[in-house]
Amino acid sequence: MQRAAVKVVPSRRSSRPPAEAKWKVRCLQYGSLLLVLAIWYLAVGPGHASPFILPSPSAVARALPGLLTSSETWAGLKATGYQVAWAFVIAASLGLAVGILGSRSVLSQRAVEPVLLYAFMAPLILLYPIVVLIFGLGDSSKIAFGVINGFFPMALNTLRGFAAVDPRLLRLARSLGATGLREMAVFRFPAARPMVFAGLRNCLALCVVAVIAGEILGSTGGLGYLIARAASTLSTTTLYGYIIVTVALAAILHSLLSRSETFRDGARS
Amino acid sequence: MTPRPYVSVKGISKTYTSVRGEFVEALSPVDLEVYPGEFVCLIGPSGCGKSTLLSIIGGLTKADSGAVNISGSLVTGPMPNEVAFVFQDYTLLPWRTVERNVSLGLELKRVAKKEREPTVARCVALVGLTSHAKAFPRELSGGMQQRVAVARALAVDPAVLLMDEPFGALDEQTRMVLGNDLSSIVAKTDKTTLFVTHSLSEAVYLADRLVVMSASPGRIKEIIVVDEERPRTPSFRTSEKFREVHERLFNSLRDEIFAVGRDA
Repeated sequence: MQRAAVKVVPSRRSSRPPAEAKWKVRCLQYGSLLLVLAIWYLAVGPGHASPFILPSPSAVARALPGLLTSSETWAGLKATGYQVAWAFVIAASLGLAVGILGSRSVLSQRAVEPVLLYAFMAPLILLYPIVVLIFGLGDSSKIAFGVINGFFPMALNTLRGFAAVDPRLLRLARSLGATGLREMAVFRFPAARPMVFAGLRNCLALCVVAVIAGEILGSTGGLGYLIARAASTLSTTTLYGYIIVTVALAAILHSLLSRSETFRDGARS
Repeated sequence: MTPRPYVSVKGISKTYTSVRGEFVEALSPVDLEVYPGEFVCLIGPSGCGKSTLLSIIGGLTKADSGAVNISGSLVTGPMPNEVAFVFQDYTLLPWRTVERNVSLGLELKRVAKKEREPTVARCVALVGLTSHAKAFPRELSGGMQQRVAVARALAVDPAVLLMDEPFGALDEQTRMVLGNDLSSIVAKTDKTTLFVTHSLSEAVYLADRLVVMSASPGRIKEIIVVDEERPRTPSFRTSEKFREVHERLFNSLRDEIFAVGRDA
């Protein structure tokens, strides 16, 4: 049984690009960011866009410290963060449950999948006035609207992930006597995991969009409200500052999610 | 006095309905007895029901009629404590390392981690993969992946090994090496083994008895005894006895293979 040992690099994730390619990727990423900034600088030069529409990057940079230290910004961040967190947790749990239940049989899968797909593609923003009628202008309407938007991609991706589990893995599970929850935890869930995380990412993205949109359309607080107010009072520099704060919030939430995805990649033993 | 059979198959039949709605008789009543520690190869043309028979013996497929007894108890479903499968397509969990794939059966039997570890290490060593214990399946060749699947089957210490064309996807030379290794492992661990294969020389090299099957309907045509001590050494492959049995097997299979081949 002794064979010439083939050297195997004990890498946790072979999907990771080689180190040499990594800095090239980074260069391209930061390069395109710099390109956007450069275009922004050129666009605000004399004779170009009015500062009411597009303030200079340096003006926005000067306004940022003031925004970041104002209690209003932090109150807005807190309100938006609270709404997004609740919307995400509810939408993700409901979507996961419906996706898993829907994948249990070919019949339910074929019945449920198109419904989820069409709902996902529908312009759900149309429902916002109704949501406000039901839940009022406070937090709950933003959370409800976030749930409505985040639920469908979560359920759809979960359904597809669980429906696509390799039947050979399930045959193995059966031969090893795994049923019910054990089969779920050891075979089905890990196999569907990449799709579940794709669902979570979409769910989070849409929860953020829906909550901010809800705040812009009608609310009494949150980043969306601050953005809408800055726009209506033509405080463009402040408006851009809030947009940057909002993008940063979304980026932080997404990186937290990515971290939780890579957290246990093959690490459990 | 002959020993009692460990696996006994009585009157097993199975009919499928094809996509076109025709009835396909995969197995017309089949009887087979396998004795403790015996290595039996099932060989025959495509569609002779050899894989179906294996699946029925392992409790993964329900037969239309007949009964399978393993160690005196009637098979009504999978028996993970008694029977382990090795499938043609390895079926490893891609998100688990080699050692965690091997420990799968023990985890599902709720064996504590402390007790699992030595067993897993022993089985990984048995198939010669100790240096790859922490590797993931995608980092291994096909032959190595199938070794993992063999180790996983051995880890639960089953009395019966059911192997469904385990080396079917591998090249001829890798097959030979794995066949050699399997022969010595099975002899060491004293398993009762049913092994489905398409390869005549693999079957002759490995088996105590060759069960030749014929198609439509699937049934047992002939049983050929390979009267040679196990484990065998590669020199058996070039011996006169090997050639004789191989020829007899070929003659028995020839009509079956060409009968099916004409329909293909």
